[in-house]
Amino acid sequence: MSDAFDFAIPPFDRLTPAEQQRLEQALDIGVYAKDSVILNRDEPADCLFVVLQGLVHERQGGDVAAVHGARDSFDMKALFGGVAQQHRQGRSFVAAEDTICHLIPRQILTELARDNPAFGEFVYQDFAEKLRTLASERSNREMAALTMARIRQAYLHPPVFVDASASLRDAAAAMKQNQASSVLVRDGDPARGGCIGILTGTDLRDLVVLDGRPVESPVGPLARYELLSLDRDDLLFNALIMMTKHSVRRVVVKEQGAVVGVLEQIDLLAVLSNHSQVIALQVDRATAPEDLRSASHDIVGLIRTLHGTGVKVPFIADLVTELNRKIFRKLFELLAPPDLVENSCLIVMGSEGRGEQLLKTDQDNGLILRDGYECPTLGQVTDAFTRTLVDFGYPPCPGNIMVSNPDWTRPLSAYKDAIFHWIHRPDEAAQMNLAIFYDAAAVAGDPSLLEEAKGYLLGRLQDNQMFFTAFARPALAFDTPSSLFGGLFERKRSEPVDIKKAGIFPIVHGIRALALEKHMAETNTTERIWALADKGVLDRAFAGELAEAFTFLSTLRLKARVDTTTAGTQIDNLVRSEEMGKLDRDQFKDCLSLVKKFKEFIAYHFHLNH
Amino acid sequence: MPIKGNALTDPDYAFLLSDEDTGERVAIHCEATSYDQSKADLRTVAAVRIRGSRILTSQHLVLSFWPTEPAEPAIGRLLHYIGNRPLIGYYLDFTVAMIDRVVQPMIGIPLPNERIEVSSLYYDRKTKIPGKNAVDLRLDSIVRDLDLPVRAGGDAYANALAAAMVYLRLDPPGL
Repeated sequence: MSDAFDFAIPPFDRLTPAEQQRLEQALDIGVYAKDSVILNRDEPADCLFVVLQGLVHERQGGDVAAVHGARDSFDMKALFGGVAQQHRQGRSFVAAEDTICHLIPRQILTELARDNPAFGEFVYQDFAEKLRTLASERSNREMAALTMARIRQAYLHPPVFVDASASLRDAAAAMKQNQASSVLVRDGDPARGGCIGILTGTDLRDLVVLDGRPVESPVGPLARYELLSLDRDDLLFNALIMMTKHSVRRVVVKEQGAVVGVLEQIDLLAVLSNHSQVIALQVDRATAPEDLRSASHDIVGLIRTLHGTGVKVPFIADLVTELNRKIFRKLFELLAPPDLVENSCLIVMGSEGRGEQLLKTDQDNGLILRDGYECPTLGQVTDAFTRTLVDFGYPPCPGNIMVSNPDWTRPLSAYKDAIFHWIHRPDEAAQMNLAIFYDAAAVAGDPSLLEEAKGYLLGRLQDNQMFFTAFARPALAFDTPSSLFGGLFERKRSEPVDIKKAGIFPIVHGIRALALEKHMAETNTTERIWALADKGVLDRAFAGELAEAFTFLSTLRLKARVDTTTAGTQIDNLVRSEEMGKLDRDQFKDCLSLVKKFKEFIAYHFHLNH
Repeated sequence: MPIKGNALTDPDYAFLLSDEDTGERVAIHCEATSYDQSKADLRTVAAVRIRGSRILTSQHLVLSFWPTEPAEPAIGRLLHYIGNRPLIGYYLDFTVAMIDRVVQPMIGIPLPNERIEVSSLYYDRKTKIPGKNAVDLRLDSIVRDLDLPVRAGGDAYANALAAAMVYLRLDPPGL
């Protein structure tokens, strides 16, 4: 077979001979062995790959999202997607067989697209198509979030009242004057047995134009008094359902029994279609810490509803992470003077940093200050930050890992000293600090400060086998039961299992140790699992099982927590297998045995049995 | 092999001995008037850089030599192109020997670059598989056996390219 580029492949057939020659001269050739990564999940693409021979798998998470064979090309999204992360969404390209690709540099592609409109149209159209698909995936997720939006968040038309004795013409005038499509008719004092009716523009038309009623007729007897009303704190979705069920276009909204406005279908649809996250908007518009309180409060309800409607846990975690970080960032920016924001980096650590917290978990945050910068009001700002978050319902960290603790609000150089200490004089606390710091994510201020601290951390860890052995050991600290039942003479009720200790923590920490050893930048456990698979540390099939088990265990844990918090008891991580359905129980058993297998892998990999 | 730097007469070419790691390699092949080194005259030299898994064909170099013209200017360009990068080729010793006939008098030392002979890589691969079959070491046989695409022409550049592909197939980076 020839190595020549095949110009019969669309859209390249649209190029003129001179343009074909230009393209040919700019081509490079990529030779990839089976199972090697062609384009990593976080690697920006500099060229378009056209497969000459072989087969390429496009992987997203554990799945093969697409297969590219000879004459196929990838990946316009990565190439023209701007912020690579955003559009790649963790996709990577792996050679499924020995593969050879032609590489078309981005530069020549854009030049040709500019010079040859027919070619350009094709290139950009293909790209736009793919972007659209991505966007709709995302909006589905947001749509789910909107099941939680309240009537309060939609625009309410102020109520326009007329007395029962007013004429139809008066009603029409009132509508016109107030730009309303309906009026509310007050028949007597509602507080003393009177009632409220509604008369819409459509009613007016029917009454006057079709039925020929004189415009002087009083509205009282003509209004409809079976009002459809909802409370202002009802879900928008209920309003939508009510309108659909009764085929009406508006409902009356009450607050504490009094009419406060009219919700029009068009405004409801506006909220539902213009869904750039209601809570996020609330956060963006906040001008004082107090404004953030309700946003933060809504998150818990959001989680419950999303979970209740069957939205997958990783999606919920993504959304909650995004919202929580928005709240933290906004709060910090509201409290801190601008020069502090400029000269520091607010970080969240632990599960918050990994983007895996679901319900409000303990605060784990810190502040890295630029060396040499001093802020006279630092203490007040950090105290206020921690206090406000506690006030919003984020429990204080029992280990006091919060910005209000001077140990976690310090200059970059002091962070480096601490990191040095954690690595070279490891005790239990140091190990834990190191672990949660490795998971840290920047939330506000200058992210390069965190990058530098992490760079220092990774730099200190070169070839330190002793360190990793100690670091990985806690992954084995808790027992994972191999069977949920005691065997032949099993007790009637099996012991509850602490799902965090037995399942989630070993995965999180084991994966963290492997990721740290490979100097990975990812902080999320599932992303780390896939990045480790890309690097060949984990077998791909095993990685898939592990990611799935992790999601399943997290789901079970959320279930347990949602249940216990509604009951008002202490948050705990216990799950009782007899309360599960058969399917869940079987899968739970499989997950636990997989965790055991993973622990053996960790023990072997880090030599923990010597 | 001379001791590094001990006989370099032209300091402009000190980069050949640099320790800097470009992470790149250069596949190289020459055409000559004969296979007998003592009688052959250089006709064409083709070279192409390899970075990671990529063969940088867009930047390849092809140089022609004529008996009536001095070879030094072209060889100077070649030396700048290959720098201190390891060389890859098929029957590489012949190519390097042909080039050294110009290089040695020109700068005082022969090419100091590390050499990777793709036919030995292929031989090692084949002899790992048990069996008594003789290994066919002709370049076109190797290319066919490894199912690699070939460039039409069979000239120096096509052969340099084939060597680059054989190298990447047999010794992929990062594995």
